[in-house]
Amino acid sequence: MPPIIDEDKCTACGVCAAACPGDIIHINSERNIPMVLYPDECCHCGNCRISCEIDAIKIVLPLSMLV
Amino acid sequence: MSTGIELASAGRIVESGVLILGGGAAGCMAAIGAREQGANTLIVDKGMIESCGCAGAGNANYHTHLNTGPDWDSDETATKYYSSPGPTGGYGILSSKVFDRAVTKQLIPMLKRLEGIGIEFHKNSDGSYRRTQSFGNPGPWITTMKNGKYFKRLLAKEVRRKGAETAEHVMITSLLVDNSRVSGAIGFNIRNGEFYIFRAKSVVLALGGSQERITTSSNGNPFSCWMRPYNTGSAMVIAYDAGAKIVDLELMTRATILPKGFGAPGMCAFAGMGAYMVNAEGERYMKRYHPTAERAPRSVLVLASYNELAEGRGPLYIDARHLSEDDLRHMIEDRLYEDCDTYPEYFAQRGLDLRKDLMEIEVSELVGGGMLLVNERCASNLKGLFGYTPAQLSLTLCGGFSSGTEAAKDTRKLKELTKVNNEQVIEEKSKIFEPIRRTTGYTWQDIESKIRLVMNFYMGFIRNEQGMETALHRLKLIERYVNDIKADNYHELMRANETRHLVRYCQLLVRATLERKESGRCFYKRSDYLDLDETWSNKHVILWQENGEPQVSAETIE
Repeated sequence: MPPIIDEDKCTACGVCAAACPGDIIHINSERNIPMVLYPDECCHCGNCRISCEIDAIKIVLPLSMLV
Repeated sequence: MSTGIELASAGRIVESGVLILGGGAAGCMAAIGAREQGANTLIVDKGMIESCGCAGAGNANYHTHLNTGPDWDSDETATKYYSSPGPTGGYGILSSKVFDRAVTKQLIPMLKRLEGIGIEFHKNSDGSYRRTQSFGNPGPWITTMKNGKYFKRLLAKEVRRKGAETAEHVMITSLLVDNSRVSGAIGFNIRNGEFYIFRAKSVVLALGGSQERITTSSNGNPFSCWMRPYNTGSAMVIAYDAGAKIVDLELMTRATILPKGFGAPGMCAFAGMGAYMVNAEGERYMKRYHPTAERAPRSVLVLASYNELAEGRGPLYIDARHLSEDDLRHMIEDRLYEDCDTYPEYFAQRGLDLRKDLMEIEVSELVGGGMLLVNERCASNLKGLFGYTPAQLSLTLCGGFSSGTEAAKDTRKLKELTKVNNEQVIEEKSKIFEPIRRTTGYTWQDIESKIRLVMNFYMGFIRNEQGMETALHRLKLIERYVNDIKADNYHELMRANETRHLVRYCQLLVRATLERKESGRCFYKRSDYLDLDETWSNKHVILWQENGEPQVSAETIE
């Protein structure tokens, strides 16, 4: 699982998309919400969550990291 | 030189005095160094300087001596330790002369500088630094940041305060060279595809010394790794292509100990600070490999653990159950959580409590190394190209700062920007955007995964000449397929260009490894040269090209 963005909390400020060092989060212009477009390329560094000032991002590690 | 092609029509031209390629820790400090010399300075990176690079989401430890009196705490010991021809060679020291000037003399002022920009360090009640010992260091050289999670953000704030400009979300694909002088770099915006021509009086190469996506750890995911997976060897490839000499690719190739399945830093320091490394029989196996057991150099921890697993004494574990509550809290919350922001999720999702549970560990993927061959002024063999970036945060901050300072001084020799080779610009532009023009072809994942098939199989912890020659042959085959990669958007175009660099970097790494005919100084063994060879003790493998032909030599560096 990639970062999970709480759409109810998110204000679509875009800071997570800018801070992601892997360019995996992009703002969807139609829905005006950040979307994790490339979840397989996430390195689970936490940069998106560190950047989010309203605590709208949760990190869930994928099964491959738990086995 | 003039081709009649109007350069401005090819893309956006951006000019600066000092151009810094890479906005990680080294690049940011290079920018500060250059700005303090008064140079007009620009940093270019694929990410934002607040979050890019290996320390982008945090870093806990700053390694330094402090000159407090004992021999182990002196400048002399620091230079001697790091430049000794033993298993510490992986730091990328080059020579004591280079290291002493560019790094040792900067380590303590750098610590004070970091405190000045808001980075706090753990201290004892008498105000002295709380220090611990790991990695075979001669003394307790590790100081720990209290707010390491925000290290990069605080550093970036200082870079901006000093007045450096940034071009973010831009991938650099090659250096511009005119008559043996580096005159800038070429790249493109990974979000909107805009093509960039950066012109500068001098360039600092700080694109990263830890090349990832070469091999994988047990989870098989190239993006879950020790360092950042977004560096695939660009620094070495663009320097080599430009005619620069690159060095220590094999010697700086490193691995570490990971929590099982989780690509993250921190485990070796954790072990060195008092935790035990135990095998399936409950034995503290490191005692058999090194007199300081878990405080051994990283290469010893890695190869010993590899050996335990290979000989069937795994699984391996970290055992921290004997530690006091205060020590455990310090090691977990103050250090691990600052080193990697997602450790709490790892512990929670695995249901791990280090107070009562053993934590399974593994040997990480191999991370490729290498850097520019530079002199004590951080200058390469090419005029206008600088960059001394040893591995480890404190060392690379100092090397970066020295590089930026020297690059800025060098700009004073030039009244105006050097000419740009228009033909080179047009050719590189065509190469960059070829995947997005294609309507059919392979995905970047299709091809890149094959590079790892080769590297995992032939370039693992035990290798030999025949296997490596085979690897070279297979990598050349894969390179032909790289020319058939198709990208549907600019993000995929970035990955396609990363793959293009990765397959080239891997070939350079194999060539360097073939040249070093010994074992015991690197993080891998050669089954055809099992012993340490003292004639190699001060030699470095240097790669470069002449008229397109690869050259290699093993030399002592003054």
